[in-house]
Amino acid sequence: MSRRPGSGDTLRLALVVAKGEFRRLLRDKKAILLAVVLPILAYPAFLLASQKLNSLGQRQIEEREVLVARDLGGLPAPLAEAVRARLDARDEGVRFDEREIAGAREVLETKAPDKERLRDWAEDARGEAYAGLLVALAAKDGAPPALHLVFDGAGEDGIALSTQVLGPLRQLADELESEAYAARLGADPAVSFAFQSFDAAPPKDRQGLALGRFLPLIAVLVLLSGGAFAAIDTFAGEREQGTLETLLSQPVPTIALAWGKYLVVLATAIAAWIGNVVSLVLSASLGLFDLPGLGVEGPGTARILLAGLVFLPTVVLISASLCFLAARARSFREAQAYLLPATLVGAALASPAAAADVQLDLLLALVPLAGPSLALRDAFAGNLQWLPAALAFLSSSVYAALALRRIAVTLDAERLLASPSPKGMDAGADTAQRSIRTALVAVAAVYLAGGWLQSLDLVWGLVATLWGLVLGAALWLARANLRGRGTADRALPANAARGVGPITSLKDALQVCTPGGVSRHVALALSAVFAAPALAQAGRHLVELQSRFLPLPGGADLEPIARALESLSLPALVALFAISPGITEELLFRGAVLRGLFARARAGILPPLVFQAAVFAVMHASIHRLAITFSLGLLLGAITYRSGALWTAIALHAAYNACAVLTDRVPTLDLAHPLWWLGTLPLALLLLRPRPALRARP
Amino acid sequence: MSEPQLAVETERLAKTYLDRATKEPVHALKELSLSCRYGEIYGLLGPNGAGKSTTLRILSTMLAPSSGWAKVDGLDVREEPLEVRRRIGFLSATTGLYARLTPRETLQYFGALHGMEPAALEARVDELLDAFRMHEFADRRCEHLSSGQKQRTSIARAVLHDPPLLILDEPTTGLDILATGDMIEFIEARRDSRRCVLFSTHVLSEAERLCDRIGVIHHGRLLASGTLAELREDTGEEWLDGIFKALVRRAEAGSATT
Repeated sequence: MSRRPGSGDTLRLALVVAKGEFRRLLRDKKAILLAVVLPILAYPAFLLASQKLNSLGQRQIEEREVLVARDLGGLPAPLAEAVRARLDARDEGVRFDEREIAGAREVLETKAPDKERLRDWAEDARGEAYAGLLVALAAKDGAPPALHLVFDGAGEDGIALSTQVLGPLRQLADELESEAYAARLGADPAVSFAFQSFDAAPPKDRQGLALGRFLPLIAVLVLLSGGAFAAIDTFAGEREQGTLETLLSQPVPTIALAWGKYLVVLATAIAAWIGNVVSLVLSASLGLFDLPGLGVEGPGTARILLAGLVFLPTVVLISASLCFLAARARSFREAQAYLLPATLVGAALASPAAAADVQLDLLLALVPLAGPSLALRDAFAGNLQWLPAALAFLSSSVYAALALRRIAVTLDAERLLASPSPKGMDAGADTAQRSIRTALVAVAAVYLAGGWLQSLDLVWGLVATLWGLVLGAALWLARANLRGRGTADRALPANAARGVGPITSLKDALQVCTPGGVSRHVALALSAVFAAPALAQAGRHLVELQSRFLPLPGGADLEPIARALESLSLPALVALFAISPGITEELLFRGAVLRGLFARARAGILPPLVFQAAVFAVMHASIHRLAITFSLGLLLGAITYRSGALWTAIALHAAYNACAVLTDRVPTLDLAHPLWWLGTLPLALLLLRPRPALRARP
Repeated sequence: MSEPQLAVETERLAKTYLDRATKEPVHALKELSLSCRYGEIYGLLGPNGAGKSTTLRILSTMLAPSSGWAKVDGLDVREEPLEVRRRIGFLSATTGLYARLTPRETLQYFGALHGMEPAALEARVDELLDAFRMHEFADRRCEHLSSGQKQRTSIARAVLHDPPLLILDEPTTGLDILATGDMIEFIEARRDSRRCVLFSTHVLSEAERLCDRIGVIHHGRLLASGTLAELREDTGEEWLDGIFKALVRRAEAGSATT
């Protein structure tokens, strides 16, 4: 009776769970139709419909019989003959009536033709069933003879007319001109050249690239929508219909339950994806529509398999993320509300693959979804670079494995069954709100007062801004937060879990205590300095990437600033642009503001980090650098939280800024060498240790 | 075995959890010691929020105790949760059914989760369909069942593996008169020398009628435990509502002096 479940047992039970879940899922016909079948049918249908509409419109224009009144009397006879020959050679629905159109010619011969009268003429012509008038004017006062086409471009006949007549006439004019030149000058044909291009890329590669560019995006969207309905039903649905407790009280390890449910989500997502791709390929091969990339050759089985392999860990990761998301929700509705943001994030991460010029490099390979998406595209185009692709595969496998290791958390009964209490007490909310207000006021002050000071004198204005405004705001906020601390929020278990308690001292309010010992913080600060060059590289990369997706009008003109700073010595530059912001901005954002936000017991970890990073990014007042300042703010905040004190962030911020100054001033220093990436290791290793606890003071 | 094992035994059981909204610690249970024997129906009586559900959830291994211990059939709930789950049938307060499964499929699914052999499971399912008069709706989806039919399905599911201990969290809440009657009959029918039923309720008449012994729980503490006669003698009150009030008064006076 008392047998322990082995891994075989777990797998067997997981399959039992999966079978039960499948049976329930497959009976929800409406959901399957909406989530799996409809996307499969809808988008070939959509492509087909748009194609058909397009060609229908084209045909209508081509089939339209258009009548034009033609008066070539102004041209010399040979020229009129050439024009006639050229126009009548085209039998595509435009017929010409030769007739005298003296009235219109009179109007056109004036220097500035009266547009109103031309309109009247066009209207009268339409009344006689003419879509337009083609009128020749004789050569006059040295000007060459001219052909005028009067037509109504807003009508369908006019559109047809302009496409049928304008092109041939322009071409004819050009030909006649060059012939005349060649004849008169006896010109050497070699003064110009004929130009022809030939794309040497095999059609397989070209088509593969075309297909690979949009496949990752489709894959992510279809995986999300296909897997979501299963995830919502098996996780949120279980909670909503009240079967969760029953399920959890069965003699089945929670991990087996979670795995069973996960397998269902994974299978549904993959089924939706495969169904989608198959329908796409099938309808293209049946000739329902032309798909760039599915021509005669197609990308080939080997490339499809390779692309599938590269993307496989991402499929696993997306399904796991859906499970985590759905498990957070108490009901279908709540789970569905999470879906849109998740889809947006997924689409954003997959979108770099759609831009053909974004290259898969070692840094992008580490980004979940983005790296594998680029690798998938390159695999289709047949120019997969093995090292970054392997890194993308490896990193996404690690993310997927980490997610799967935590999959049992989705069914953590302690979390799922805890009932919210009706009475609300929000410890530390005042402190957090004061921090938000102060941060916003400080940003406004830096914009207005700081901008004014710097316009008076750049260097001293900057000093005053940083050491006056920013530092002042930090100290004021720290004191206010210390004095205004609540008494109700002391020693809460939640805070113990986060390692953040109520504010106990001024040092604590600025996060400059050294929990875990001075030597640890010195080591952290030193390793931060070594990590800075690599992060500066990553920063440049990010700025580049942002400019690709958010093309903005030319950057701010930094010329005058650069000139004003040329006179400064290197140490002065470093002090002004690296050390000063390093200290003052960190004291404000990662010190006082972040600490104040953390003081709110309910806040958690991530929301304070994101808020302070957002304000930090806004203060830098440059939309060109929005992504990089936000990311840097987030990183510095996370490092401060993890290390327990500000020193590391100060060192990193100062060293990061110093990298920019040094690259400019000391050309011999190669801060862009890839080996600098090794410099991030010590910091990463040191940060692996959890946040040290502050000794609580009475 | 010299002494018959207790079906349920808890010692100084406490549960503190964090309120998700306020991040405040909530002491749902404070040092609750309790024992139930085989052959008895034990009622846990108390107002909403007294800690009844938390106690039952710890015993069914949903929640881990913060301190103290709890044993089911001599097995510690924290150390051998899967073995404990084999020995209990649990009906939670908010119990529901899979809408798109039929009662027969529901029983088959949970039987498979219990690792029952297909042939034995088939026989057991037929037996239960007979016992609970479920044949008429056994192959209709649960979403189309009446509340009484759903209740019979849930009960059949809970006793599918014939557990020695049945834990029912407020089994009659939300049921109409007929269904409540069915449930009370069912609980009485489980009275058996080798079985134990532990259920929570805030309906005094149910407890008076059904229970061999009653535990009165309030603010996470067990105020008293015993037969109705013992509780009457202890407090000098005739009916359970009077007994309950007397016990609460006594507890509050006690905590005021200490």
